[in-house]
Amino acid sequence: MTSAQLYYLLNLLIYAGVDIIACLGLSQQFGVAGVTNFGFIIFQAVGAYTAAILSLPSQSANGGFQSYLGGWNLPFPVPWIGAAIVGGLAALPFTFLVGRRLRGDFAAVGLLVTAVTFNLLVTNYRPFLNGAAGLSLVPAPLQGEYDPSGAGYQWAYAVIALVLAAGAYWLVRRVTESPYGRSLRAMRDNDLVADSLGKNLLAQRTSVLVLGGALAGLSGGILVGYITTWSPGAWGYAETIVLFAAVIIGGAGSHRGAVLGAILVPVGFEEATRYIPSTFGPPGFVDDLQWVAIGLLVVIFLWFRPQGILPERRRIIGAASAPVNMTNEDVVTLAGPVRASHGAAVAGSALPAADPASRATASPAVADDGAVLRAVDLVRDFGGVHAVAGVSIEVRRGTLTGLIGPNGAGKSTLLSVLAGTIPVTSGQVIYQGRDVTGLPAYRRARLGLVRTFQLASEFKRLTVMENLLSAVPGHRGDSLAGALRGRRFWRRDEEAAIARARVLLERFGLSSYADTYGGDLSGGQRRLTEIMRALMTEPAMLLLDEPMAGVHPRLARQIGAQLLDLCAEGMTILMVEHELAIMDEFCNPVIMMAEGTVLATGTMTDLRARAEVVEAYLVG
Amino acid sequence: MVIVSLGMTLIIEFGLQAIVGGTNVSYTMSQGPTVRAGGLVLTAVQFVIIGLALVVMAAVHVLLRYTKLGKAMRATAANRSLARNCGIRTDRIVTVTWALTGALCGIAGTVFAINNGSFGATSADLFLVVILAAVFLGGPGQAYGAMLGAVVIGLATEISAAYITPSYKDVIAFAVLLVMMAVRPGGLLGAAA
Repeated sequence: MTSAQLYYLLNLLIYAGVDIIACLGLSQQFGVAGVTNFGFIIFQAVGAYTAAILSLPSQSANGGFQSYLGGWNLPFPVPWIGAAIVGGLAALPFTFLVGRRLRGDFAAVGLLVTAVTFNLLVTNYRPFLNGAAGLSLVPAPLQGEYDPSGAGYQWAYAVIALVLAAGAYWLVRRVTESPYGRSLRAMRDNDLVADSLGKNLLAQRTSVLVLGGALAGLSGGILVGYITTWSPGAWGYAETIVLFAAVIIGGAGSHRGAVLGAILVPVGFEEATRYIPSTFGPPGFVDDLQWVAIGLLVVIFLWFRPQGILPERRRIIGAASAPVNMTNEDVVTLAGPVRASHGAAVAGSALPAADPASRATASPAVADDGAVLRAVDLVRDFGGVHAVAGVSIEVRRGTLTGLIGPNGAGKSTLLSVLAGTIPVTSGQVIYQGRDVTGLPAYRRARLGLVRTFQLASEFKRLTVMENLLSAVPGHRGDSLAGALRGRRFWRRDEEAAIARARVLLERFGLSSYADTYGGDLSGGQRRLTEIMRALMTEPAMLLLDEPMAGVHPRLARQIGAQLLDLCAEGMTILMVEHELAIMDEFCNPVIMMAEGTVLATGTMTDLRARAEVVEAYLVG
Repeated sequence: MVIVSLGMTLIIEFGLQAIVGGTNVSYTMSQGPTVRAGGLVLTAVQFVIIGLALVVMAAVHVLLRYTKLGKAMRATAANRSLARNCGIRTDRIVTVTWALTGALCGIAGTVFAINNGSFGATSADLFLVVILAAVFLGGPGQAYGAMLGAVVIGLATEISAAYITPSYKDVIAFAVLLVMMAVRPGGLLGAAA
């Protein structure tokens, strides 16, 4: 191998290390947490500039032909560490763009615009970072002690870059394959639902932005130490698209995919083709074709293989230890063993009861008549519409309270307001004697007030088992710090959670589906998964929005019986349901809403006796 | 979706550059007599451009409001599968919409070139981002929001160019957008989040 070939190879290896680190950071944000960060390149730029001004001597000492901040002339490895830290810190101001209020395309465009804005500012304001000309003569690490142009130095640089890339791989793997990573993926699949299960979306998004920012910053630091120059031209917003192309082509959410993408796209296209002789075509022809190729690859992959070359793998959490061969028929007949194991307190209560009131008195839980949840004059307006117009209700402990009313009566809105999914316009929500009106949904969920959704809301790219595990409260591995401390730190919590999930799966007859993706389930199975997931949060109070919609009538009865069992154990449930037969059978009391207000409260028998109720709903 | 359009932009922009080269083509025509109005200097051609913009705005209004096609477009946007079940050929509507937007962009490109006097493959590089900013400022999916956003962004850039310095004119536009996102996340005319 000639020295030119060796130089070429080492050059590619260093670029590979840099791009792998950056792609791992972006894959963590975009593939795992669902944060479309079109400003990703800024963080690499921030890292590069930081490393540059930390390692450069002061302006005057450097000939004074360029002007920049700092110039601290700090020794290696301080500039690289600084690059990672500042890259991470630079992500903090961006959290307002990806917070709760601003989602999806909006945040993406906001970040894109920010990237362009930063580039314009740096380009135009020379005293800051030497403007469009950029910084040059950035000292290579340890260039005083070693000769940066020597082959040994190049080898060492390549090895260090690749070792750091391996470290980045280890780091993101540790985060993603932890319960915290599961919460991130849950947020990616459906952020509102993750919120309702007690996930702090803002904190989660902030942590991936900071982690990704730190990785991008480190990659910038390594890069600038090697190429010794950095200017706004190196980080135009299009460079972010190259990284996105890499992550999409490799496989978003898959670490190996990110590595493969980093090698194929930025290294393969951008760097390797620089060494193709540009003798054919007009000047710049090869460069232009690279961009065309990257654009084509993105479009083709999103069209034909959106999951990438190495798709995110399915996490199998062995359902094998509970071999249950259930057919659909078995699913329908699940209630038998469950009731037997569990339903002594309410034995026979799930049988069609002629008089619901008599069962209510028979149920022991009703003796404790404290109100778990109270709404006081709740109002929620949408534009000019009063969806909820002054509702005051009380839900007593241990009851399965029904909520009925015609379409548009404000039932779902009331549930959303109670759970904190949407804020109140006015009024108060008192939960277990505490005013929770100002608390966001995830805080209420952590207090044990958990809701389900009217529309199917499973996490599509989590397995059923993962759907259940994602809801476990207080899991030691469900925080960035916990995840970083490794499996040993959280294994016990995980095993306990898996055991609980298995019991629930058994109870609801879905054991054989534990490793099926949530998105591949049937409608009824999704509802069951959702109820199980809500139960995994160990709620004190459940708000169920039409849990039986689309469920086989027999299965609906069995769900009803299960819910009554849970109430007998001390849980409180408020349930929206349209099927009056279900209400007759299971719910007492029943709250009747119409046009945003409570029309009546009582047993179904009472309600049927009241003329205005019958007029508003029951007959129509 | 944004990723796909950015990918397409790369293909077209650099494909064009690879074929025709990076040189600018000049497109000059007589600018006509100039008019001064309250410190602003406008050429006759620029008046024509403003008039054209107004006509296009009115035409879009009529299209969306009063024609069958416009209603079909709005129905498709609101709920594609429902629109399909109501007998709207949604695939065709989407194609027609792409064609219409292409035509509108074509007009915009032409007047851009007329106004600037010259253009090349990369002269509209930042333009895409500015347009995205305008659309999101108004509120995505809102035709009138886009018009309002475009006016606000356009005036913000050009007036700030006059009073501060031209190099920062896009910065001002983007700052306007970011402030709006912080204050009114749904866009100026968008639904409150």
